[in-house]
Formats: sequence, C-alpha cells, structure tokens
Amino acid sequence: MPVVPSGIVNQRQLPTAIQKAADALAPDVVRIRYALTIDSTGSAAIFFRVLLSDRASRPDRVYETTERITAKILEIVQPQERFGMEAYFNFRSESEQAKLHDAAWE
Amino acid sequence: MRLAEGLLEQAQHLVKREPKRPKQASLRRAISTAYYALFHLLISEAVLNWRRAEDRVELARMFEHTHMRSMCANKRDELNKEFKKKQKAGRPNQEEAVKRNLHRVVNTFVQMHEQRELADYDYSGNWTRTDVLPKVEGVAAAFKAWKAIRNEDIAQAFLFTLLYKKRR
Repeated sequence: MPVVPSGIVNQRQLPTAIQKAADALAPDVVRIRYALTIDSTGSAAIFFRVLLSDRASRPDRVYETTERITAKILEIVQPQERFGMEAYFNFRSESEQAKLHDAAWE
Repeated sequence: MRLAEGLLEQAQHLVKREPKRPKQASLRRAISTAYYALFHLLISEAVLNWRRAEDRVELARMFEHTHMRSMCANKRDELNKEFKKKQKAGRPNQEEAVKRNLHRVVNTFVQMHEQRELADYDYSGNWTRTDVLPKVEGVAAAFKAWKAIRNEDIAQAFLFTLLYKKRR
C-alpha cells in the first residue's frame, strides 16, 4: 500500500473539517475562509477569517458569539492536535464585507 | 489608576470612538493598546513580588514580549491537556475553576500578541469593529480572570516563568 505523506492527507482533511464547522455554526456563520502560513514566531499557523451574519455581529452579543464560534471551530477542526498549527481568528460582519469588498473574505 | 487598567480603558474608548465609520487607526490602536494592557498587567503583578520597591521599575524592563508569549503558549498547552483528561474524569472543582481562569489569561495573551503584530505592522487587511470589539472585550475578561486568581499559587508560579529562562 502506498504511503501518503501526512501533509497531503492533512491538506485534504482540513477543508472538510472547516466546512463541517461552518455547517455546524450556520446561520451565525456565513462562511469561513482561511490562510495557512507562519505566525510572527515562525510557527505553522492557520488564520481563520469568519464571516458572521449581521444578527450574530450585534455589538451587544458579538463577544459571546465569537467566543462560542472560536470554541466550536477548535473543537471540530483541532488545528493544533491534528495539523500541528497555531490557530488565530478574525471576524467580520456581512454588511462590513459588503462595504469593503475584500477578496480574501469572499 | 494603574497603567494596565488605563490602557484597557483607552482600548475600549478607541474601539467605539467613531460610531459610524471607525478609522483604521483607531481600530489598529485599540488592538495594540489592549495587548499592551495585558502585557503591563502581568509585568506589574510579577514585579510586586520583588520586595525592594525602588528596584521594580528596572526589573519591569527585563520582561520580553516573545518570551512571555512562549511561556503563555506552554501553559495553555499544558492546561489544555489537563482539561482533556479531566473531561473524562467528572465534575469540575474549585482548582479547575482557577486553572480555567489562568487558561483565559494565557490564551488571550497568545492571541493578542499575534493580533498586535498584525495591527501594528501588516498593511494588507482592513480591520472592522466586529473583529476588534470582541478582542478588546476578551482582554477585559482576561483582566477579570486574573484578578480572581492573582493570589493563587499556580498564578504566582506562572508569573515567575515570565521572567525565568532555563539555562542551556
């Protein structure tokens, strides 16, 4: 049986896990984009860009929302345990993205 | 008001400074200032353990951002492993509540250290209030968590690691 390098397997497993997290967090989470890179300490890292519905982004609830979403993504994706990556999170509302038209968040 | 609390209050002000169209400068400075609030909170708590008050200012200059972050990440990983084992073991107790608070502090430090790097040096992205507000509130929550555990042995032992470097 051929041995598949773990990096390749992980690259296939990662998008699946992230989509699973996005599905579990709908409708508060509209979509999740991410970048695989290194962080400022030189460690492998994943930067999640989480687009939230406007309802989930209301200032009076956005802290609790992002805490819950972060915990769920970490639980499902397990970036450190399964992929050896430090995870960081950034959030944006749908209406903020509609003004910015930022390609990285589309 | 101590420096750490003053910085946190300033970050909270900056994130709400322009209600309709927040300026990038305000949002970036809010992230940076919130990180520095936590950085100075931990240093100010650590140097209180030095009995000669007149030496504390010099002692405070010995703390390094990257070493502190590294110690915070180590403590977070150690606690994560412990929580995972405990999940199977049963109900949380007072000791675990203390550890959860310490976890909040160290995890927030690691996250905010990286976000501060981005806010201060990376021009590539736009910051939004939806992103910055919970990060600043997260630092406020870390302040509360620290105040709840600051006299606990585990918290004091952790402070020591922020300065201490193992000999090679």
